Amino acid sequence: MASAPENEKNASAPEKKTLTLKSMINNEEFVVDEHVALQSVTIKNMVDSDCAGDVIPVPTISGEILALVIEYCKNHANPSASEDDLKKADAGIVAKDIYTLIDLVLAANFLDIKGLLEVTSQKIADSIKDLPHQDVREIFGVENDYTPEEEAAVRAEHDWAFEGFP
Amino acid sequence: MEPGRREHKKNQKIEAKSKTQFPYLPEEIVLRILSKLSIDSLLRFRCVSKPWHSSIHDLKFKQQQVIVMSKRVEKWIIKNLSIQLIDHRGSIKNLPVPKPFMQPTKLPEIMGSCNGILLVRVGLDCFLWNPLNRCCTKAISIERFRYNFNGYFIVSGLCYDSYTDDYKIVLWNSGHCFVMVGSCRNKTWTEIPFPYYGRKVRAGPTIGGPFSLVDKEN
Repeated sequence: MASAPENEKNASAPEKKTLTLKSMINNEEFVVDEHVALQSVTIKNMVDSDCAGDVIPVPTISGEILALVIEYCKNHANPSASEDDLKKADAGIVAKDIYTLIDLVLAANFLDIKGLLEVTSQKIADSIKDLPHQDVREIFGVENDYTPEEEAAVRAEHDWAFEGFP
Repeated sequence: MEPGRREHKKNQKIEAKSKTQFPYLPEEIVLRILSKLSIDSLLRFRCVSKPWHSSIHDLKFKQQQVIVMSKRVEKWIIKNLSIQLIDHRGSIKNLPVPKPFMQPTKLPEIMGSCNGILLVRVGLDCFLWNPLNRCCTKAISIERFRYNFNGYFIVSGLCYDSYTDDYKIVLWNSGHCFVMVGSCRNKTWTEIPFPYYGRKVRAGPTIGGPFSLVDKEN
């Protein structure tokens, strides 16, 4: 659906510049209007310094995640979108499981897209705030460097915060 | 049934994790996420690991979090004194009361806050209290203002001076044409002329470090 009008646009208005972003993980390619892609400061710097060829390779970001990033950029490049529309659209983009959100926040950080970084971090915070710390440790892949006694001591300092948690 | 289900859930999680290209998030992203959490989550997540503990220790309080000290207490029942945390969603949590605040005849009063640290007056002593890590230190005495405090309208605030790494207390009362600035580091008071009068002076909000007194008429 999305690609059809884009092709049309390219045919009728060839002066409109596009960039091709290519995920280096699964080689998926995305053709994007330049002004949409330039919301990424990383891509903007590449284009400004003439480092960008016809195809911009994006390392470490999968096609699935890149599609979400491009959806975000498209929404925010639309000058007629109201603040309310954007909020709803953002909420839709980050309505994902925690592991997808972690990939997305890394992508937003790498591509330097401030707004996306902000909404994704907020969503991650909302998703983990009521989880036991053991689950948070697992999700973030953090190694537990406490001895059981040390952990118990830290916990005892604020026992009230652990009420109802394992 | 129950253990089987749990096992299944765990497998799913590990499978999902392998999709992640980086199993570890850079520290700046972790900090960004932590800074969006409320105090009760943060206190629990100190148990995640030692690096998380120190990151959370260094975190500043969220702007939206407001500390409210309840004053509905009868003098002889200390346990009714409660300190409550209200976060930006409006949920209320009771916080443990630091020992120095538990004085049968004196009620603690919040005189200002800055960087998540509260300035609390108990009688003639001022304390700096960080509810996040429970640090409570006696900052400075207001003994010399013992008689100035009665019957006057007091405006107070706390600010941080990054140049001298010092928390400073600003006091003003409607009876004087100077403000008193107290240094928590040096335990000294300095008088600064203040050319405004009247009851319309209010403490302005502290943003980051600077403290301002706002005169409503000017």
